[in-house]
Amino acid sequence: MSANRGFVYIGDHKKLDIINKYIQENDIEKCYVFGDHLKLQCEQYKFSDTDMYKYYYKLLQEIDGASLIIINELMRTQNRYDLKYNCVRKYCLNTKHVLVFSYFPIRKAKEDVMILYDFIQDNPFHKEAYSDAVFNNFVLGDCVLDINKKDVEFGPDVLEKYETEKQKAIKAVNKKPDIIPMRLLKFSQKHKINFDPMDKIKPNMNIMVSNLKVDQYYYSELLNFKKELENGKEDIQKQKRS
Amino acid sequence: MVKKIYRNKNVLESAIERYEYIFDNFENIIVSISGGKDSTVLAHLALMEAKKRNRKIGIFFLDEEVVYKNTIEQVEYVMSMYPEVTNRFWLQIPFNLTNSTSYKDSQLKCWEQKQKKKWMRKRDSKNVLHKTWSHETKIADRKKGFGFYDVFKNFEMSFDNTAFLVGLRSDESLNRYRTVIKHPGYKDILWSTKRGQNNHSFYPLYDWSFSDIWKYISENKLKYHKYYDFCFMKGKFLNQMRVSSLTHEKAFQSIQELPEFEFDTYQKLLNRIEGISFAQETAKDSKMFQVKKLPKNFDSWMKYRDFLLETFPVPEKKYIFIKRFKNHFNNNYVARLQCKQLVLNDYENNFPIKNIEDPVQEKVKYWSKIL
Repeated sequence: MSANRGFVYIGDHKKLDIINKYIQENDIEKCYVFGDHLKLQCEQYKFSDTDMYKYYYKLLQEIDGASLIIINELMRTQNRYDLKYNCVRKYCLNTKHVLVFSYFPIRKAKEDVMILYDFIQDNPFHKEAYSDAVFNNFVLGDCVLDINKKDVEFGPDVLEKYETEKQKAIKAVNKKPDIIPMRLLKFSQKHKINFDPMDKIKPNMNIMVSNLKVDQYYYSELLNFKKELENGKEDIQKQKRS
Repeated sequence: MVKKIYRNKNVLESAIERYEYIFDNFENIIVSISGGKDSTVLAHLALMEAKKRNRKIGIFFLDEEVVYKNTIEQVEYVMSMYPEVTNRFWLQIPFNLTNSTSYKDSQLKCWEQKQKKKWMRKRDSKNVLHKTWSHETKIADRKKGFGFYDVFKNFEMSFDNTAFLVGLRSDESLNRYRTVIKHPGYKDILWSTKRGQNNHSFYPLYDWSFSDIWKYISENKLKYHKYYDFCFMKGKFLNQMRVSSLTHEKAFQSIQELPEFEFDTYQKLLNRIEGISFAQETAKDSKMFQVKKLPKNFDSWMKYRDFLLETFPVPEKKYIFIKRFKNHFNNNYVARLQCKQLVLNDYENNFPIKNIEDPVQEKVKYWSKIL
């Protein structure tokens, strides 16, 4: 097991309070934020800039033991070996002060949490297996996903239109076939507005599921996500104790 | 899964031990250099060891003629670092090089006597101007002629019991990693491969990372290729920083920024071979050399491929493509890759075609079924 060099905060936390307290308690001289913007007076880098050559060496030279690295909502892919993550990981090795914030610890599968886990490990190359991970430096906040489902039924006229839309979507595919479910979901949402306004994706979701296959597909994806999230949180708790 | 195992030793200490091992086990040692950062470090470490032992080693550079002026300066710097222990194998001999920028001049014949007036620069009498081997020259493919890899092969064959040092690093790509760890080449040494006539290739920097190389260059105050500074100023990504050839199918994109980096070299290149100006303007065009977007006159990659094949101007190369494509799937995915080979004149098959069912159509079938 590698040693830890900071904390990972999952779920809802008062980020600025945590950061300010950490700065005061640890004689931090400078801060760097990677990921989403925070209301802090310090250098901030977007996810897309993290591996740029002009920043890479500058940051490796500048970041030292008195620096605090804040990684804010940086879960963008499931690829643990992504070059951008490896660059951020390399920056993290220059200091022992790393704070990671992520509302959800996963993107699709519970193993995704290892991306966050890697940020606070000492060894830059060793990637521990999920089953070997110890989440002692993880702080779990409120991270809930309540789904309030309402079933609605479309008549045969909409179902017929859905079929036509599906054929149109298939015909329109050029390079990206994944536009098919997205386009059909849009179709479904357009028709569901007649029942009730939709809420956007957020921790408490009010969703409507119709008798269209596309709705059933996305609903099952959502349930999978919820299940993985619950399993992931449970594993984090369990591995903390052991 | 293959795991990396970390030891309590840094990569420099390990590399020095590897050099000592090679020097202990081989009388003849030849270091291949390209002018890039890795081979500069590779040669410097070898020369330090040679100096310590007061032994001569060979430094090998195959001069492709159409290279950056900076590459030549860097190679000269490495060759002149410790001349007392250096055997200079700077080869300036005629051989064929793929030119992806023109069908008419599909091969550049480097250092061809007929074109002497157009040469990028004069040959230097200090260098090797004639083939170094006495055996009958081996050519892998007569149709393609005496090419880049043939020079290496024949050069190697003129030696026996020799260690050839190569600056390959395994973190550059999985292929390179596999090359290193697949089988031990010499005794139980994994960072080596077996060659003919008891010759062996060694990769003493195989576990060095990108940063290790730069740290060494900085700490030893070594000169390096100015192209890296250019990359820095342009804000390029780490994996885009490569000093490469200017005209072959995997690297001709360097021409696009050549006028900005080395204007003199670009001007000379314009006089030297056909197609340079066109390539300079379109190297990064998604419809032209990138072959990423389908030109609007065609509604499928298959039709575009048929057009390119039908109008391919060099009959002997056209035959190679027809033969190769005969057993391929006929779908848009494969056809795009075929178009890429045709546009880049890749008769050598350096961009191999993944002959599979169209993944886009496979996914469409899936969505069609479940939605």
